[in-house]
Order: sequence, then C-alpha cells, then structure tokens
Amino acid sequence: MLSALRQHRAPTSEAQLSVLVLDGVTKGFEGFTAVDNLSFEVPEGGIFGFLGANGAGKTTTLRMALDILRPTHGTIQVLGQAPGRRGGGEIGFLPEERGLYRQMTVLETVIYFGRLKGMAKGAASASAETLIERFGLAQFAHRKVERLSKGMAQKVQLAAALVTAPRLLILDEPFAGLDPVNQSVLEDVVLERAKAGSTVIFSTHVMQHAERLCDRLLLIARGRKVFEGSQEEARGQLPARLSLTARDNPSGLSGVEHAVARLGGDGGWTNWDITLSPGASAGALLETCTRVGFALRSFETHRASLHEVFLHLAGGEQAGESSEVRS
Amino acid sequence: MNTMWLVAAREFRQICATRSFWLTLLLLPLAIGLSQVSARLMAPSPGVAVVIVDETSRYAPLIKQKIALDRDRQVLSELGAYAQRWKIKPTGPGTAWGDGPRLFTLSEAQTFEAAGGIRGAAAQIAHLKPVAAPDLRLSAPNFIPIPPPQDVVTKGGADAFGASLAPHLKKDVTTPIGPRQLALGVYIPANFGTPGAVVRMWSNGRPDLELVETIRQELNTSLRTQALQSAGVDIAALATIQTLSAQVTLTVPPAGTGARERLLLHSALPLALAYLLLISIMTSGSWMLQGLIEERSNKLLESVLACITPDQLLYGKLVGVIAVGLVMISAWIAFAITAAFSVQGIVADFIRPALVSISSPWIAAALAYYFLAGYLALSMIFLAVGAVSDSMRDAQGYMMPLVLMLTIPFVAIASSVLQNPDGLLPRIFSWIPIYAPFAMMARLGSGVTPFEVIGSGLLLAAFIWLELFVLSRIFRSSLLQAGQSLRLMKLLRPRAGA
Repeated sequence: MLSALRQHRAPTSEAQLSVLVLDGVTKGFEGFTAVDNLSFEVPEGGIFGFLGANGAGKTTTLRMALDILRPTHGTIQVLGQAPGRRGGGEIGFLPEERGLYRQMTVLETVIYFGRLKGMAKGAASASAETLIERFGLAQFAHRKVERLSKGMAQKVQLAAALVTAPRLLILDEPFAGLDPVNQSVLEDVVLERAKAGSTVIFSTHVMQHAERLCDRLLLIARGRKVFEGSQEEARGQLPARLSLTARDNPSGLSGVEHAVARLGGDGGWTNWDITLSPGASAGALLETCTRVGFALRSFETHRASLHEVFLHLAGGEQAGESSEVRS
Repeated sequence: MNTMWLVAAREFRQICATRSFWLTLLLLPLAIGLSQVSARLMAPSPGVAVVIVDETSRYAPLIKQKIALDRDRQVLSELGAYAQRWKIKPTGPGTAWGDGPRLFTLSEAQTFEAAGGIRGAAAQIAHLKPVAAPDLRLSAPNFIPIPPPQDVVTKGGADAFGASLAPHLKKDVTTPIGPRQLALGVYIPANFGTPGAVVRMWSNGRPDLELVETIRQELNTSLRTQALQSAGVDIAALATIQTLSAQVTLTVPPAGTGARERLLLHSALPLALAYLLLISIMTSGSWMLQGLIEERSNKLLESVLACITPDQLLYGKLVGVIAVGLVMISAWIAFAITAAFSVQGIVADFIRPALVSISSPWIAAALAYYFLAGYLALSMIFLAVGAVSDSMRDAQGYMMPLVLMLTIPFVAIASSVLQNPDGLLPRIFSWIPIYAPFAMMARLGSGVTPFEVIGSGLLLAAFIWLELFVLSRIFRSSLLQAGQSLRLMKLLRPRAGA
C-alpha cells in the first residue's frame, strides 16, 4: 500500500511555491540558543522530513512557523505570508505533546478545533464525522475523551489536525508513543494527505519513518542546519562502501581508499570490506577489476541508511543534546 | 472575535457541566431556606403562662386586668403600624391606632377594649384594607394567665403550692393559644396587706422581670389604694386620681427612615451585592484556574495556540468565567426576590426600603460598573495564578494568600461601612483598585461624592488595563513553559514576548 501510494505522490519541482521559508532564523531563550541562523525552504507538495536529535531545535522551529513562538532574529514565511492565524484552516498541526479536553466528546473535540480554525459549524461537523469514521472511531463519537484509550485519543488529535483538510500539515514527532498498528495507520494518513496535494512536514528522530515517507529531508543539530536535500543526496554524504571476495588485496585498485580483510575466506579467497575514495563509485571499481583481470568471487555494494547518515552528520553534535528543550 | 466566543462558550459549558457549579448555585438558596426553616422550628413560642393563686380573691383579677390592658397597648401599637403601612383610616371610638404606631396609654387601651377590642379592630380592617394588603397578623400575647394545673395544691399554704407547682415549671402547659412554658407561679396569702405578709413567686429559672414588675406594681397600687381609703380619702376622688396618667407620645419614624435604620437599610443591598461578588469570584475564579491548569497539565495548549492567539484564549476565558459568575448571581438574586415577595411581611417590608438605595439610575449604573469591573479585575488575578502554576498543588501556594488578601479587607470594609460609610477606612479602600469594587459598592447606598465615584472608577479601569497588559504577557510567556520561572521585569518590558 505504501509503495502504491508513493507512486501517486505529486512530484516536486524547484519552480513550485515554497510553503515554508525560514531565512536566518534564530531563537534564543535565556542564555541558550535553541535555533541558530536556520534557513531552509519546503516546496509545496510531498512529504518533508525534519530530522534531528532530541533538543536539536525541531519543536522550537515548528512553533515559530505556527506563530506560537516568535523568532529572536530572521524571518519566516508560511504559505506566502508571515506566520499567524489568518489562514488557520490551511494549516493542520499535531503537536508532540498531546492533550485533549477530557470532558468533551470525540465529535465535539474535532468540531471544536475545526471551528477554532474558522470552519462553519455544519462543515466542521461533516468533516469531523468523516474523519472519525475513517479512523474507526464512529462508535465512540459521543464518548468523552477521558474514557478513551491513549491510542484512540491520539487518533482524535490527528482528526482535529486534519479536520480542515489543510494545505500544510505539520506533525511534530507524530509517531512517538504509537503502537506499530497505529504507526501504520498514521503512515497511511500521511501518504493520503500527500496524495491529495497537501504538503506534510513531520519532525522525527526515528530515521526509519523518514526513510519510508520523505521526499526531502532537513537535518538539524544544535539548532543549526547540517543537511538539506533528497534521501539520495543524504546518502551521498557518506563514502560508498562495498564488500567483495578476492584472491588478492584490492587496496591498490583505483578508487579504493581503504580495504580491510574479514575472517571467513577459504581456498585462497579472502572477504574484504572496501571504503571507496570520495567521488569513486562501485560501478567504476567493478569495471576496473574486469579490465585489469582482478579475480572476484563476489561483489556487493552497501546502500547507506539514513540512520548511518544521521550518525555521520550529527553524531559529533549529539553528545550535548541529551536533554530536549521544551520552549 | 468569533474564536473568542468559541473559547468563552467552551469555558462556560465546561464549568456548568461540573457538579461543584450546581452545588454552589443551589447552596446559597438552600442555606437561606434551611436557616429560615430551622429558625422557625427552633425558635421558642412567644409568650409564657403564669399561674396566680390568690387566697384573698381580691388581687388576682386586678393583676389579670392589668396584663390584659398591657396586651391591648401592644395590640394597639401593632394595629397602628399596620394602619400606617396600608393607609387605613378607621373611624369611631377606640380607633386611636389609626394614627399610626406610638406609645398608647392605659386609658386608650381601656377605650379600645370597651369599643370591641381586637374583634372590633379586625372588623374595621377587613372593611377598609386594600386588596393587596395581607391579613393582619398580631403577635402572641407576652403573658397568659391560666388556672393552676389540676394537681397543684392551692389550699395548703405557700410551701405546698410551690412544691406542687415546681414540676410544671419545667415543661409546657396548656393555654388558650396552645402549649406554652409556665414561667411564673404567684401565691398571694390570705393575710396579704397585713404587716409581715409576703407574696411568693416561683419561676422556671429565667424569671421574666417585666412580668414580675407588672405584678409587683399592681399589688403596690392596690395596697396604697387600701391605705388611702383607710386614711379617709374619698373613694370617688381616689378613683379619679387613679385614672390620671401623663400623656406621653413617642414618635417612631416609619420603617427605613431612622438614622441608624436608614444606614443599615441603604447599605444592605449594596453590601449584599459586594458579598455576592466576593463569593462568586472566589468560586468561579477557582474553576477557571482549575481549567487552565488542566489545559496546561494535559498539554493541549499547544494545539489550541496553533489555532488562536494567547490573547484570544485569554479574553475567551475571561468572558466565559464572567458569564458563569453572572448566571450564578442572577440566579441568586432571582431567588432572593422571589423569596422576598412571596413572603409578605417583614422581609418584603425590609427589601422595599432597601431598594430605595439603588432607585437612582446613576447609583444603579455605578453599582453595575463596579460589580462587572470588580469581577473582571479579580478574575484576571485568578487567571494569572493559573497561567504560572503547573499543578493544583502549585496553585494552592498562591491561592491561600490571595484568598486572605481578599477576605480580610472585605470583612474590614463591610464592618466599617456599617459603622460609618464615610469613615477613613472605607474611603482608603475605595482608592485601592482590587478593593474599590467592594468598598464603593458598599458605600454607594449611603451617598458617595461624584468625585470619588468617577476618580475611583477611572483608577479601577486603568488597573484593569494594566492587568490585561501584564496578563497577556504572562499568557504568551508562560503557557508553554511548564516549570520555568517568570521574571516580572521581563514581562513589563515593551517587547517582552514568547
């Protein structure tokens, strides 16, 4: 289902409008800089992953985009204008810290948030009923929130974020606290919204979700941007690695930066882990082996995971980011 | 603006859905009702019985006649008040009560009795009273002479009489107007009037001095009359002399017009409003505070603040809680008015002159202003406490000083206003914004200068503006900052923000 939906995703292009633009944004709290001179753009359409360790400044950045916080320096544009609540219905937001009015029913909650964003009562009611049905909560529509399980309450909150069918959906750590089944439901919803033309920005420090969903990524550490681009571009940040089985030492081959023999070879064959030089490719190395008659029994390339990319790019910064900032 | 009303409506509904709201709403009427019922049930029946055993058979009739005439004087006074209240003008002999309530003489009481007494007066009233006037209800007589109970020894001397009467002095006895406490037993010996003869009395432990004095005076008068007769004074002349009585009139101002009474009546309604303001703000302020803390602890504020501004949230909450307060107060006032006018008599007669204090449109407008402004000013203090508290336990630390800060000065204001509305203390409190609503409301009924009303009102308005400014900063700064301290100077800086 995920792959099918991904095929229908609207393509992004540089010519498209940017739904979110940050230009030199800094946010400081007493003696502490949460976001430091951050600039990036999110093009309209697709799914944008906002990655970083706990305390990297993701939540602060998203709060500034929603005008909950004001930047100390720099400018922000959301949907072509300064942050504010003028077009509240065009933005849906699922905060990391979730909570609902315990005495309100499921239906009342979703309608209330729809109306707070400017929807007429009838439209909010119709949209709320559709979403409640979609999330399998129809039989609990008139149940008070305080009597719901945590998972159901999280679905209600997601419905409240989606009730206006927003053009821009901002999800702050949306998978946190969800069980695998509900994580899957949420992934489906994210992909559905993207398919319907919405731009989805979600922050996470769990790279697997970003790997499955995101078209583009922004990686920040200590409030500063360390990477922005596609997943392939992100992987390109890591030196290519491969493993091969050969009779001879491949260290002297063109493009090989580093070769380490592994245990387990037999009959004169040795297993090697190869790190390529910057700019070198696995295909070029294979071509060289063929051309010079370098005997090979196996040749296997390794695709870097986002987790490895993350550790590579942000690893040095993470030591000081153990405590998350809530501001 | 629309979102503010949405927040206000949600706040209002949330508070109204709580049990504590309904308990509070019903508590005041219930307390008043219960106090009325218990007062009626527990109040002792008016009037006490008295037993007189007269071995001479000469003095008891005179004492009983004196008691009856005193009762007639009391009745005349009550008839006078009724006639004045309902503008009844009786005609004919024995209608001195038509002039209004005053001190009536014995001879007027005798004339009244001769003209038919209570029955005669009741007949005139039935004929003359307006349709809206309630039926005349006279108080019960203070003293009711009754025959000795059957087991009381009346022929065996004073000691035997006293001993047999003693058990009855501890309980109710049967009288023509129902069971009453036997308060006094009187034994007049056969040799009364001779040297050494003593009239003995037994009381129930709480001797009614008025009754004792009435009996003593009547016995004295009889003895002196006998002595004068023995001395050769002409009986006819003596009888004439006995009827001489100094004509004394005591004019009582109509209800609500005496200086002290007027002060009490005119301060009653404004003071009651000030008290209602205090109670309602304490309760609804606490609910609002709880609601805000719940929002913070449930971590749902971020969702709300993504839709509306902190100011819209603040104003919505204020409007919601003011609506709750107004509903409570309207319900209480409606109950009070209904109760007052459904019970004819003293309560209604008290409320009517009390309403005079707000009959002026300016005073009514000033009362309304101080009430609403006071509600707003104090609500914001509760809201500020909620905005900087992470939990109810945290809020309790602020609440106790806050409650003391409001209630202790309120008691001082109320008591000093009842003593002297223009005293130094009420005037000082009138210029302290958080106390001005209480002080000014309490003083408005008894006259406040326009300078004080306008000056104090403007100061209160300025204080509310400052509160809104600071509270707005507190909201923006603190709502998402659980566990972080606020710095006052930072809040007051022009560009202090989130």
